This record gives sequence, structure tokens and C-alpha cells, in this order.
Amino acid sequence: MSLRVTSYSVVSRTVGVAVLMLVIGPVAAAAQALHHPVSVDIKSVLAADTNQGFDSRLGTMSRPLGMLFHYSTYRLVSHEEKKTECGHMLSFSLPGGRILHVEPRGIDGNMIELEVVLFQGEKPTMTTDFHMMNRGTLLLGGPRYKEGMLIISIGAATPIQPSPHHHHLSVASPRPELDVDN
Amino acid sequence: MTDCREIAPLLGFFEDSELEPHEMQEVARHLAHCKGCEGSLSDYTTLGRHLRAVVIEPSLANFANNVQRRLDEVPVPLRVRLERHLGQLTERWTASLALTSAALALGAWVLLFAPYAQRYLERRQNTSVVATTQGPTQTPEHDESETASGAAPAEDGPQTVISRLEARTPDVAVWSEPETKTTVIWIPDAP
Repeated sequence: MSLRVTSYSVVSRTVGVAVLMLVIGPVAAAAQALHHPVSVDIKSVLAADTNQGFDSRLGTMSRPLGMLFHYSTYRLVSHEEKKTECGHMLSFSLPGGRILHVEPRGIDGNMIELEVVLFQGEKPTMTTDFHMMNRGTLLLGGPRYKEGMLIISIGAATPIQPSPHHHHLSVASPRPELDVDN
Repeated sequence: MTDCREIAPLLGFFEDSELEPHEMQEVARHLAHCKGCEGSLSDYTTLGRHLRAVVIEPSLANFANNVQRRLDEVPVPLRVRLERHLGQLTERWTASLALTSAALALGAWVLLFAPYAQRYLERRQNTSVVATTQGPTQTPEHDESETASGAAPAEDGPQTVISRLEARTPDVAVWSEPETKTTVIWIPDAP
């Protein structure tokens, strides 16, 4: 009898410790993830053939624009940067009455997973899910705007080098727009 | 020389070899020249032999089972039985609860990491399947909604991996510029 009771006790304690470790792991990972913000940077650029060259405010963005497109004018129309958490959607007002929803979905190694929805008025015109390198950029272009086209630069960055398989969370913090020209 | 009165009380122990070595030696030395004590020792020896012949040694076969059976026949108070039963139940419940919790925690781990594994597999699939373009590429036209899947790997690995792309417009182009590691999604306004 006492042998049976002892073996039950040993099993219970061993399994109990295993359960604690199994439970503590994800909880600790989730708790750690709460403090990793994701910064989303949205730039709206008017691209046109009006021979005005590059807007100096575009900075390093001028080079990829010049290599990717063949317009003669690139002008920064708006710039907004917000910080958020994974699973929290950000809304950006774009020129021409467009709205861009960006939601960081998670961090996978050095890649940030994002969902982006572009609205024209109330209608979604484009929805995409993608993984982007930390501090990478995706250009979204094509909508007509004024005398040219609108090119939207979507950048995302997380300040902490993320470890794989963690979701990251934080608080929104809008940054003032440079030049909104609807 | 040791006196017989001192030796006599030791003779019984001498017969049973229960004396200290030096006492055994002393008694043996005394017996060598004392006929009286030798006779007494002989009496002890005879008596011991007769006693051993009379004694009946109990059989030890099935001894443990018999003891257990006798113990089981002893009435146990209800309070003690109840305590034992509850103790066993508690142990079993604790073990069951721990095992169930372990299973649940394992399930939670699987649920937590399964999406990442799926994404990893999808990303590998997309990287191998989807074409990498260096210039504007038109995707096939559709009437209403368009779904495309694309990856734009750079020379040292993908910078952007597109897993889903849905657009209302029929013409969608996706390309990447490896030098600047930039991916472009081109969605013109619907006509």
C-alpha cells in the first residue's frame, strides 16, 4: 500500500513539474511579447511626368523609386508613422480619400507579418497578407491622383531583434503628418 | 586457579558458546582438571539435547500469507478505512489531474505554434512556386476579384513574401527590385 502511494506521489509531482514548465513557457513568451512594439511607416508619393524631379524630403526613398519607375516627378504628399501591437489594426488616411488599414499579425524570426487593406471610400480595393523583413519596405502603387499616380510606401520595423514564434504587442502613438495634400 | 563456584554459573553459557573468548578459555582450562564441573557440563549438554528434541519448530511455509490473512481478519475502524480510501482517491485524482493538465498544456503548445509552422511551410511553398520578376508583370485578368500569391526574393533571401493578394481591379502586377530589395504591388484604378 505504502509503495503504491509513494509511486502515485512521485508520478504526481513529476507530472506537476512538467505541467508547470509547459504552462509557464507560453505564458512567459506571451508576457515577453507584450513589450515589443511594431512601428509602421506610411509615405504617400505623387509620381507624375511633370519634370520636377525628386522631392528632397523623400531622402533614401528616391533611389528605389528612380530604379523601379520612370516618372519625372516624385513628390512626398504625406508621411505618417504609428506604433502598435501585433493583432491591433492601424488606420492611415491617404490622399484622395483613400484609407489604408495595416495590421501587424506577428513576428516570425526577422520577418514581420502584415495584413494591409486599401480602401477607396468604404470599399476595399485591395487586401494583401505578406511577410516583410524587419525595416523593409513594400510599395503599393497604381491609384490615380491629381496629375499622376499615387505610390504608397509601407514600412514596418520592430526595434528589438525578435526571436522566432513570438507575437509582439504595444500601444499606438501617432506622429504628425508632414504634408497632407488631399 | 579458578574456583568451581565461579565456574558453575558459566557452564550453561559455555555449553551454548555464549561466553566471551577469554571466559571460554578460562572455563575450558578449569574443566580440564575438574571432574565435578565436567559432570555438570555433561548434564547441561544432555539437558539441552533433550530440550531440543522436545521442542517442535513451527512451519514457516506460507507464513507471510497467513500473517496477512490474520491481519485482514482484524476489524479496522470505519474512520481508518475511510481515511485510507480518501487517501487513495486523492492520490489517484492528483495523478489524473496532473496528466490531464499535461495533455491540455501540450495541446495549448501545439495550438500556439501550429500557425507558425503552417506559415513557415506556406512561405517555403510560395518561395519555390511563385515566379520572381524583375520588371512589371501583368497577372491574369479576372472579372471581379483577383487573387494572387507571390514572393519577391532578393539575392540573399526573400525580403517580402506575399501570401495573399486580393484586388477588385482585374489588373494587378507584382515585381521586385533586387538591388534596392523593394517589392511593388501595382493596382491601377478600376476603369
